[in-house]
Amino acid sequence: MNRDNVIQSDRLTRYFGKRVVVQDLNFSVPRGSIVGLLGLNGAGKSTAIRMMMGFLTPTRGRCEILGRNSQDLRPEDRVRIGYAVEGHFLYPWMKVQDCEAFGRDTFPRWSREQFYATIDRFGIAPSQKVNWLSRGQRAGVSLASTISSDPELLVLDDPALGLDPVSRRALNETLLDFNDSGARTVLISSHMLDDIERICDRIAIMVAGRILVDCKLDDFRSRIAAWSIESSSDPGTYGRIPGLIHSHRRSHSWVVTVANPNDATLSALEQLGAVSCEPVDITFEEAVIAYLARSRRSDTFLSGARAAS
Amino acid sequence: MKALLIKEFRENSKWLVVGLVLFAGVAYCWLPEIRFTWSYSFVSSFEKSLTAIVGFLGGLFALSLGVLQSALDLRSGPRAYLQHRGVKSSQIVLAKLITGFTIYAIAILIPMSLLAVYLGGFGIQTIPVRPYQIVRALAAGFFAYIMHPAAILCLSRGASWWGTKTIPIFAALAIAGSMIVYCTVTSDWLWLFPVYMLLLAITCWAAVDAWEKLSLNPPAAQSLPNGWRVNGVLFLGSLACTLIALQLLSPLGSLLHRTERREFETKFDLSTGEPWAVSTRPEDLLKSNVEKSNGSIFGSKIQIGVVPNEFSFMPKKMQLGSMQYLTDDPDPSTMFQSLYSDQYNYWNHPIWANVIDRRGYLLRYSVIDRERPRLDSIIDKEGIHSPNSLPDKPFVNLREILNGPSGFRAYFDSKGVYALQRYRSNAPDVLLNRLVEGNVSAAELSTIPILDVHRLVVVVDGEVREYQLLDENDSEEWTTDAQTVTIDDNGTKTLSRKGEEQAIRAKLIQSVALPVQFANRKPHSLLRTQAGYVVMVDSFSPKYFLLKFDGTSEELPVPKDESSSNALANPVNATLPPALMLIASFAHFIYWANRGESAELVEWLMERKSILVYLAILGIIFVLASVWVVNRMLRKRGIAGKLRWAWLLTCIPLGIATPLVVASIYAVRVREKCMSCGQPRSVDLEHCEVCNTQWPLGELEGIEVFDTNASLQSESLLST
Repeated sequence: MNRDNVIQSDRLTRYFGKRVVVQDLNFSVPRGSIVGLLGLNGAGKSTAIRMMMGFLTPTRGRCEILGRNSQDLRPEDRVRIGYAVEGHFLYPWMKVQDCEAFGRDTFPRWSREQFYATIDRFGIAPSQKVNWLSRGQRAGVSLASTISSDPELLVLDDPALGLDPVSRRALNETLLDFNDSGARTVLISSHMLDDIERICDRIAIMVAGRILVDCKLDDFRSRIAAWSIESSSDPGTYGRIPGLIHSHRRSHSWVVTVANPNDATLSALEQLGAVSCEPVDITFEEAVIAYLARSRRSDTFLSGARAAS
Repeated sequence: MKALLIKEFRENSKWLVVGLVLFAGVAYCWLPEIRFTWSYSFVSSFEKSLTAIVGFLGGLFALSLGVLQSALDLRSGPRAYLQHRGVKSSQIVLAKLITGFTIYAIAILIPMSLLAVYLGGFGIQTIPVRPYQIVRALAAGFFAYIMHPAAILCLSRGASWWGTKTIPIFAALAIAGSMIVYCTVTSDWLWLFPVYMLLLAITCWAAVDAWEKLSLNPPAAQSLPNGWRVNGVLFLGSLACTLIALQLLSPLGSLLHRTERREFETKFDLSTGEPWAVSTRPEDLLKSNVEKSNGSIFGSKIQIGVVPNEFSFMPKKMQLGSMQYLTDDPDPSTMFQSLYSDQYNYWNHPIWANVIDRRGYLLRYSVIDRERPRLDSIIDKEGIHSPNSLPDKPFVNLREILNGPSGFRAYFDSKGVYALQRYRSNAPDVLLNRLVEGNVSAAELSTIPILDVHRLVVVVDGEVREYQLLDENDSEEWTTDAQTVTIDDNGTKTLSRKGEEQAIRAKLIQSVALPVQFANRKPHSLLRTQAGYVVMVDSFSPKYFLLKFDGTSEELPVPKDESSSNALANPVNATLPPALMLIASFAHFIYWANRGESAELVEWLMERKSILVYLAILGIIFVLASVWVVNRMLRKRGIAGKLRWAWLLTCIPLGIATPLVVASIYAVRVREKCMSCGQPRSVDLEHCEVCNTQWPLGELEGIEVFDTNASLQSESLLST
């Protein structure tokens, strides 16, 4: 394992019955980075994270986290990792201060100040009962419980789900503070693309159980391009554009999104014989959506892309 | 640990209320029975019924508690929240066990204690049930607790295959079930308690082990599951599964052998002493309208025909099933006095109910008002006492002699024979006579039909002695006095007073020394016939001797116990694991060898060689069938090499249990077509079992965007 990586998986695969959910996942999280894991619902993000955290047995392949096989994590390994599960589970019968006490008794290192500072950022009173907290407040308590144990690595499974803008901002600020020194690492799965763009320095995109993107955020931006093509039919169906991610209609023209554009791409675009073909600016969000929208398309599209490559 | 305990108690304390309601309901259901429908049958069955119900419901509650405690924490979110901490999994499961046991114990102890207090409030003055008689129910309840760790073990195992999850439940069920049955049926099995504790400890240990290790490990596809403890539980569970399955099959086997099965009662011709095996099967009676003896496919034919009119049953207590009851050996249960209830023996009478207390007292209740019976007197070997004074001369293993004439009861213990006469005109109305003094090992009241009198026959000091029972006028005719009960218009019951002044005494009229062959075999039942005394000795199979009045003796032919031999010949027996059969046979052999009668067992078996051969052939067929089935199962599961051979060899001791074990341990594998060789390959293996190739990497689509730093992607963990 590369010592610079806190998480590294090698062909991690998981079947549920005969259905493959995660397939040959080669994925790494460099130390000190904030990595966003993106994908549609059902893409396999949570399954992959559960395997990485040792809570789900992979069908084959393996994963190392902090230099240890994720299936053999000991309590002393786990305390180095902060893990917030999807849905922000907390014991509903506890008060917020009980959560702090429970964490204090079950983690060797614990920062009471960190806990109360974090819930304060979310506007939560310690005497409130968990059962009566809003989703955002619950996220705050969950995040406070996770980072107060002073972990080296923070793994958050869709923490922003259902949060209001203020809570999301509090979440982002907390994560940025956590990574302030650059010595600690964050892996966050989310559907909030603007939040991911704001706080992450790397992204990974999962589509139908496979990783299609795993790079720095800036690299990703620079390697995705789009063209506006005036054409009566979908240029994507011709299947001759290398690296074609997605094409969609906008007004009277088609916008095609391409990965790793090069001379062959330009040549292919010219050969389409379109009325016009103009490069357009593409945002991070549009680029990610182009990837995510692929799995919603029919097989003919993929067949065309394969034929082109 | 403290935080975990607080969490468990906080989350699960609500189940304490459920448990309290459950067991309080059980206790409450008995109250109206105790108060308003007091009857002998109820009181005698009170302890057994309570034990069975508490054991059953206790097991159900323990199982539910374990499932509820574990299932909530095994959901994805709660599991990660709980386990992703600086605590060991073993601490988590230990907290669950401690919490579960505390809740369980409180839920049982409080209602049962209240029931005990309630019973104590009545007191022995009213009902012969003592508060501590709930102890057996409590013991059964705590035996049933093993279902709790078994449920935790069941749910915590990470294996996705059903078998490895459910087998601990079956194992615990077998352990708890057998212990509860022992608590209910007999009181001589408490030596099993340490064994139970050992099994409970192993189950708890396996639960901790499973939670700590197996839940995070990939399924053991090519080897046995890790940890001998878990293997032990799996093995026990597989045997339990087999036995349960066989219990379901056994009615079928019984049906197949219905034509060979007979129930017997042994009768003796009172003229000749000749034994007769009488079938009581209803079909026989319907066919011939006479009682017929039985033949069998395996035993030699015995006398078939009409039984003479003048015959007598060997007294019930002298049948095989009651042999132990009749022996006068020291009772090991006295070592656990507090765990054992008194044994009661009731007989119905309009006015009196006599109770033989196991401690050696005769308790005499007045039941004229059946709803408010009162203890009338306590009788020991010194005489009759008021209920308020506890006598201090109890009988020693007092036994009642059946078949006594009306109005007369006789008992014997190791010190002599006593007569209890219930009706006298003047107080006290009960008379206790010591008829015979000596170490009596067997006694019987025999009727002499011709004279229509009763004789007392006892075995004492190596002799069979016959006594006349005489009244104060030296007459034997007192036995002809039938007493009658008159109920007047007001419902008052009165007894006729014929013969009630008669104080019976015993007069020795003849004695015959027991022959030498009885030296090591204690006779435990006897019967007087015109030809002599029929003596039955305690043995693996019954042995009857006719001891003639002139002192000579001859061994009587014994009707073969075909019901047991036919049961042995049931083909279902051949499906039992051979190792289990051997262990059971060995244990049986040791048991009888300890009684100094090993030759009897061998002899009994040798007489039934055909059954042994029959079972051996069937057993071999089942073992071979198991080998064939297991081989197919292993091939389907991709198990080969030494492991496959090990399982095939396991078929020899385990028989048809082996396929069950294999099916439960190894999951059926999901397979896909290998891109290299075209054969189906298991998806959970890195390499194809046929061509040994790795899985091919997915086809690139040209849209992948990976880091330019090659080291992040190219380094393979597997290659290292």
